[in-house]
Amino acid sequence: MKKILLLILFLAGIAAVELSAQAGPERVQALRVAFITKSLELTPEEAQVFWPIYNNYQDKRDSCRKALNEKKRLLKEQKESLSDADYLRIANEELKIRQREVQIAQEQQTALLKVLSPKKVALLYVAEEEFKKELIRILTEDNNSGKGGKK
Amino acid sequence: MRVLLVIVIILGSHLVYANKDSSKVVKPGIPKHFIRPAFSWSLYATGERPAIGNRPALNNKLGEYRYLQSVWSFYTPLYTKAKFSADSSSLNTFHLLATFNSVIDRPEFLGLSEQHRLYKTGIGLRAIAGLGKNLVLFADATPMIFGDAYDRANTRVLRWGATFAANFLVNPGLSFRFGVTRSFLFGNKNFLPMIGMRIGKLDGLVYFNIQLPRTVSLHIQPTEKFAFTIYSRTQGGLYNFSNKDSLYLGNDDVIQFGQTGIANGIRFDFRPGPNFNFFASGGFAVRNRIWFYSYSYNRANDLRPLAPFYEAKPQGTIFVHVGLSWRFGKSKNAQGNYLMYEIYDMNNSNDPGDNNTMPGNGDIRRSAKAKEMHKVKLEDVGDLIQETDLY
Repeated sequence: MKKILLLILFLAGIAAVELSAQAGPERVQALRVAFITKSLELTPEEAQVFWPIYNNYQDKRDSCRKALNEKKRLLKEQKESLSDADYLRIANEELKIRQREVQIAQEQQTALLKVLSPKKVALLYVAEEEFKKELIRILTEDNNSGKGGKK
Repeated sequence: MRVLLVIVIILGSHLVYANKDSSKVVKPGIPKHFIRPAFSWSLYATGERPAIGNRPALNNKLGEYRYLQSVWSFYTPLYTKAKFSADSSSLNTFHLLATFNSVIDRPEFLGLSEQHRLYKTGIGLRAIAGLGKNLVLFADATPMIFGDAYDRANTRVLRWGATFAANFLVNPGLSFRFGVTRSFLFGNKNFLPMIGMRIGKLDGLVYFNIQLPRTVSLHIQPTEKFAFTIYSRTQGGLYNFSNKDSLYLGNDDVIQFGQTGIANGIRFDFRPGPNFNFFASGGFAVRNRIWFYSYSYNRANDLRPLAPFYEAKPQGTIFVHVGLSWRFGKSKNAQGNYLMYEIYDMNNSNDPGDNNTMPGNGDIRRSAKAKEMHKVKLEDVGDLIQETDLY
């Protein structure tokens, strides 16, 4: 009986931790799939070839974004202890990451043009922007109406 | 003891992740694998009823019968290769995984003074290839040590299970599966054909899956956190069994015990976050069979090795089945990639070590609708938004 109680407590603990865990990136990905598929009016055949390519470059873009965030964190936390040489190195690294982002976008466009029409590739940029704006709009509305989550 | 071990592993991994030096820039990389390592555990137990078989003396000796099974399994990716075809129209992937499983089976015959704890432990290799837009190939081989804790020295034996299967994805809502399996699920050593079909998207609201000879199931996933399944699955195994109770009257130290049945039930899945999913299930165990075999008797009488000297058909009874899966680490993004979903499904529906516990597709996220955007919180999108997006 004690063992069962311990197990139940353990599982309840896990569930509680999981409920507060960051499911956000996963959720945003799922919403992005829904939004872009609808915006670009992707057929099932197009979607089947589009998403593996898009995800591949999305992983690379995420990596760049995380690297930029790490630099921001370093600059914020170590502001007092960094030398001018450190600042210059960090600034140069930031520039390199941004150049890499452009390169990734170019590679993605080349790959997508092999499987989608130029119109849909061009509209992808619009859909990505619209997706972000829609998220911002909803978050702003929630914030104003007091419905938002942790702010 | 096992619960404690899992607690130590979970706490240990959290400590490793938490113990970062904040003064260093951690260079984020791209995850190497599409499949995250996963632990699964499940416990299955039936009610008790008489084991009425073809030998009255043995029926009296065995008495009432009930069955308990605890299964631990683990898989982890070892190597992943992903390459686009020359025209970029498809992503070919190859996944090599290591698998581990540990099973304790307790066929409890209440007429015996000592109960037998039958065990099975195996480490195996699994390869999955996603080719082109439609095809997934799956191969799994697991050598396993079987025995009876009642008399470990005399009952230990090595056996292996294997599965080879091909899955053809016609479209996201329809797939076919064919293959062969070397399995002990039917209480004997069998080479069986596999044939299957799924109707409905794996990330959709409803899908129906028939994968013979293992499962038939109807899945309903109303939200990202909850799912229900109505299912019928094969449940069984073949084990070495100590003859210390003299169930067989010859001089054998070890005999073989086989049991099988079909568990028809309803299952409730709860997935509170991205890493864990729990399930609880109940129903009726029907078409139950148990057998005892003696190699020495069958050899002496020129019978096939696994011809039973005792066969019983215990009545149908209720069962409960509970379990959890824990996935950890990061994986490459596979959202919207239905061929990758097929890979996840094949990996999850073929349990390591010839078990059939249905640990669930915790790594396939339920598809979202644009109207669900209000569920997103500000901290979820912090990385996505730049100041230029605001004007």
